[in-house]
Amino acid sequence: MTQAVRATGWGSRTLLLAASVALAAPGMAATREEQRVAELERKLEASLKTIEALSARLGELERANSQARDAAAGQAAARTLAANASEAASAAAASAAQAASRADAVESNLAQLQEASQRSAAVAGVPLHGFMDVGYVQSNRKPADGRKSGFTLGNVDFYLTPEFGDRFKSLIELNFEYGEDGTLNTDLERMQFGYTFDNNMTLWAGRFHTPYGYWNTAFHHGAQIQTSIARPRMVGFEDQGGILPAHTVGLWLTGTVAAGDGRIGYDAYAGNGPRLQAGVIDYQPVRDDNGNKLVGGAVTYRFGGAADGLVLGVHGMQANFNDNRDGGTPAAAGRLRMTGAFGYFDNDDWEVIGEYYRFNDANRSGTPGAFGSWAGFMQAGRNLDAGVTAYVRWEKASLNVNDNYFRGLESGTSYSRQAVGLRYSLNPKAALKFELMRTDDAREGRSNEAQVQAAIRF
Amino acid sequence: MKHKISTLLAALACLGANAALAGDLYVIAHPGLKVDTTEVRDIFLGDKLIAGGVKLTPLDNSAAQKEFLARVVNFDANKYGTIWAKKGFRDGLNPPPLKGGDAAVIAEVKSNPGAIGYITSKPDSGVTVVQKY
Repeated sequence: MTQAVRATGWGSRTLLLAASVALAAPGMAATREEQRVAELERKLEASLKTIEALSARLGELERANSQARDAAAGQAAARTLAANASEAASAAAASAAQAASRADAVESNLAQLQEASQRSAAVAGVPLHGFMDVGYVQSNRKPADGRKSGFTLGNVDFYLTPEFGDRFKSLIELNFEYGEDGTLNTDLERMQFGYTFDNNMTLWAGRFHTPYGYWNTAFHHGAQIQTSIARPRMVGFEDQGGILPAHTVGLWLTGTVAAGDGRIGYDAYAGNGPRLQAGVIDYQPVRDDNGNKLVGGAVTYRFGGAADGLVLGVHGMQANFNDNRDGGTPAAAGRLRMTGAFGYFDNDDWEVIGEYYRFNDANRSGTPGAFGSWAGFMQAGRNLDAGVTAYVRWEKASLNVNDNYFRGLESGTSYSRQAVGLRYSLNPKAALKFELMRTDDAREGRSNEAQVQAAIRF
Repeated sequence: MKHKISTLLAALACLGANAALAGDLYVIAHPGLKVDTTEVRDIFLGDKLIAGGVKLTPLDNSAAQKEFLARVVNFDANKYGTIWAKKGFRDGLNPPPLKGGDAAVIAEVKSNPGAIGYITSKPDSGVTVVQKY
């Protein structure tokens, strides 16, 4: 309330008080008093009217002031709300961006951690692979122990390929296999360390698959990756009818070089020479019984372009050997010298493998002279629909019985063999095979076999 | 008329299918790795192991392997797997690790000096694009 209004208020009360005193005073003349009272009443009424007017104006002013304050307050509140909303939006956007960035970082870190663990495992030498096969054989052969037919266990073959740094690598292969006589044989098939000089050259040391032909190094104990059930007999393992050392302990230099559309491949090796031990080739994993080493090599050309899938090669080996027929003093000695050629073609429709071995051996005891022999095989497989491959194979070995090398081997007899079969790929890592085989052996005569095999790789 | 409509529909379906398969492929490598586009196939078949003194680590990408094998290597997955099984068995080579997708390939390529892989979208910085297919 303003001072003018407060002054007016006090004036009114004073006036009222004065009017009351005046009205309450005794002994005054009635006329003069009546006139004075009337005058005072008129003034009082006027004052009251003034008071009412002032009060009304005061109310209006107070109402206007209140509305103004409310409007100002509302505007301020709106500005505050807008500012708060803007801050909140900015904060939300920043939070979202942070969240997305953190999610990306977490995802990247997780991926990196996963990959790092896998990389660590690979570097540490964890990769383990292998093959396994079981089957059934129906045969009319007449083995000494009388077992001809029945279910048969094949191989369980494990191999590891650990790497040690960028250039060093190794290959370790352990094989469990039941022999023809039913005994379980454990064989450290391969134990080799390698150093990769560059893209064209790797040097291996240890026990390795002797690099002649195609079959011996490509398939070996890998039943699932070879089309047929049986290996060609001439490239069989030492204790399974093979006429060449399937394994060598020594050094092996190998590589490929780009040439035109294709690549030239080479293998050069030297190792402990073979000896004949009780009719079987002994590749001598621990020390050599003579100072003469087995040396050999192969050169291939892998075509590219229109002939992609075709490989042609030549191979050879030489070694002096002793025949420890009875396990004691060598009963015979000679020189093994093999040359030959091989080829294979592999595309989506066909797999064709052919190998030829020419022997020009010499006796170093007994009947003197040089003796020629040969052996070869050809297998053709045609990929049909639905994962089925039909194949046929022809083999023949004409071996000179006067050659100390073949005379000292149980398997050193001439033979011919024909095989026909079907392979069904259940999936990329499992196969079922069925094979019929007829063999004409110079010593054992004719025999027929039917085999079924299930083979896997992992 | 019906034959023409059927033919048109078949053609459109083929176009659609081809469009689905026709996404870009980017072969990427670690920024310090010197690899020629002509060497990509050899690398993924194990015929080229070293580049510029660095051991190569080819990486397969499960999200794009089928397309990569068709366009670059010219083998299907079964053939590719058999080739590497034989290479491993004969030469002691380990097959390319199979990564779960573009992110995993990119992460490995950025961190491994010898890594080379393939992805389905253009990468950001940090890797070298060897070839776009």
